[in-house]
Amino acid sequence: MKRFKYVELMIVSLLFIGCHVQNSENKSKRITQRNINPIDGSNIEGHYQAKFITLNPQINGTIPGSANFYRKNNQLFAYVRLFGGGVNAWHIQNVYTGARCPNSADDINGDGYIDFEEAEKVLGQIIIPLDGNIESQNLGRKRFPYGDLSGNYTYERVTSFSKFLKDLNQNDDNLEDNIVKISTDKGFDFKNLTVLIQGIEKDKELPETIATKTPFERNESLPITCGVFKKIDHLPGEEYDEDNIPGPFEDDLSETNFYHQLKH
Amino acid sequence: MKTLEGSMISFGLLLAFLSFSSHAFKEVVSGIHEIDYGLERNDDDLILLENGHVIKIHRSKRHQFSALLREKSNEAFYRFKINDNRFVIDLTKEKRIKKDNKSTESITAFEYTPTTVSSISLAKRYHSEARYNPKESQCFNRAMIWSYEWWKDHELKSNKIFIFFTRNYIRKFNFEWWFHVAPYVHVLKDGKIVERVMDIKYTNNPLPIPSWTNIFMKNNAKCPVITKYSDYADYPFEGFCYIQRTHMFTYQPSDLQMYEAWGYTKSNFNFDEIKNAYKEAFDEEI
Repeated sequence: MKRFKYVELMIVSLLFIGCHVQNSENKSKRITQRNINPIDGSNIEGHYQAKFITLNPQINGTIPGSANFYRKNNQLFAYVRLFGGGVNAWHIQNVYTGARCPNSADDINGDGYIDFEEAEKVLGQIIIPLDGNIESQNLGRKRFPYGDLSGNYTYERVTSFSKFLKDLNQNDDNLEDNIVKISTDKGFDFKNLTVLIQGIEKDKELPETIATKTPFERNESLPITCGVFKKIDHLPGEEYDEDNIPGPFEDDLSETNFYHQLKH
Repeated sequence: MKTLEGSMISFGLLLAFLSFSSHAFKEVVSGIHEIDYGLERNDDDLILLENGHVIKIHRSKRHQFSALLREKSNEAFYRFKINDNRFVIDLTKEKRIKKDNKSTESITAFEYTPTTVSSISLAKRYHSEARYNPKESQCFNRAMIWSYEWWKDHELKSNKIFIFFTRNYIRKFNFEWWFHVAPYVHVLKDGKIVERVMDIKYTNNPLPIPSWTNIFMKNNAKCPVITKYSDYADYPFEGFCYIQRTHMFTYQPSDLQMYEAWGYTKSNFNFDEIKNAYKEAFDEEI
């Protein structure tokens, strides 16, 4: 594992104000204010959500869902909901340091698919594996969820926030892998981190042009959804309004109804 | 394009809620929708069942059942033995039966125009003539039969309304469901179309939607209207409830998920669902 590089850390920890960010390349040019996060994680409170954007929709169609972190006091809850992925497929899911999801412009070999190699160039390095144990980058042992008979799954893990942060601040004892730690003096935020979900059914055929990364098979590593974490500051939905009923409406009362009215 | 194989698993027959009144426990057979481990150290685990009920595992028993539940492969149904406080005292795994989908999902444009019932008095009449069975049954099965029989007998095209309860609400009030569904109709009242919920089990008359939600909201919370299932599912820890409108062919929340994901929606009654609903809710074989 490598130390979180300075530039990457800046992307994670800087607050962007007054501009719409298109991608990470021009992001640094749009910085108007810096916000260095406190090292004790006190900036993290409430709900952070990454709504899924479907990647490679030609495989599974649209895949709704989201990845969520929710902090309350010292409890940290991780929650992933995915609908309509691969039936019984193994879904690798990791949070990355990159601040945007890959799109068709990142399909470098032009084969119509965004493979893991292409996605990784955009996503950067793994900072939180959403596996068997979110308290630690290593203890979860890549126990990732499987889709059910409908291709759905929910993933939920709870841990102590302080233990989670302590693990992220530890020394990086593996500089060879793609998992990084954060500097102990730089703080941390979920905002603008990115989550990637991978994996389709084993028996789905894929073109040879799709690259993967050892030890994963192409079907295990193919990206299927991605999302960028944002802080949730309002809940969905609208207040019920009895004067605002959605249509369509019947133009005329049905004969059946008139019939019954007459029978009355 | 995604096929429907694997997307529609028939729950009806296996979602029997078997009561044994001579004992202080019940047996519940259902798949697991989600497990909520809570946010506080002393929280018990909540098991949100596919049939809409919420049962609990006491924190002291967590380890006893954790292996079985961790495997929550979703290929299994579980037979839970629960006590009067809805705590699990035993559980076993059963094979889930997967059925071929025989319904009439449609991905083509489907415009559903509900009937406008001509008066409140007519809506009351429909409400009063709907069958009632005091036994414990699943709300989605009752709603399906009421809608089906109004359509069959009066060509009434009704709607359904789902109320979803957040985990926040379930924990705060020890609430026993994560969703409930009932039919509602458009009714002409004083020259304007209004919505009235026809929940025969819980109301004596057609009710405005806020009055209906208040039956279940112990804190009188107002339930925001959502149009996507994910607006409920992705916000489990905040707010108290959400309501979502749909047409009368919708059976369970999984239908709402399929519509959101792929645009599949039912454009007719599904015979297997009707059959299961009659059997489970009204003890009738058709």
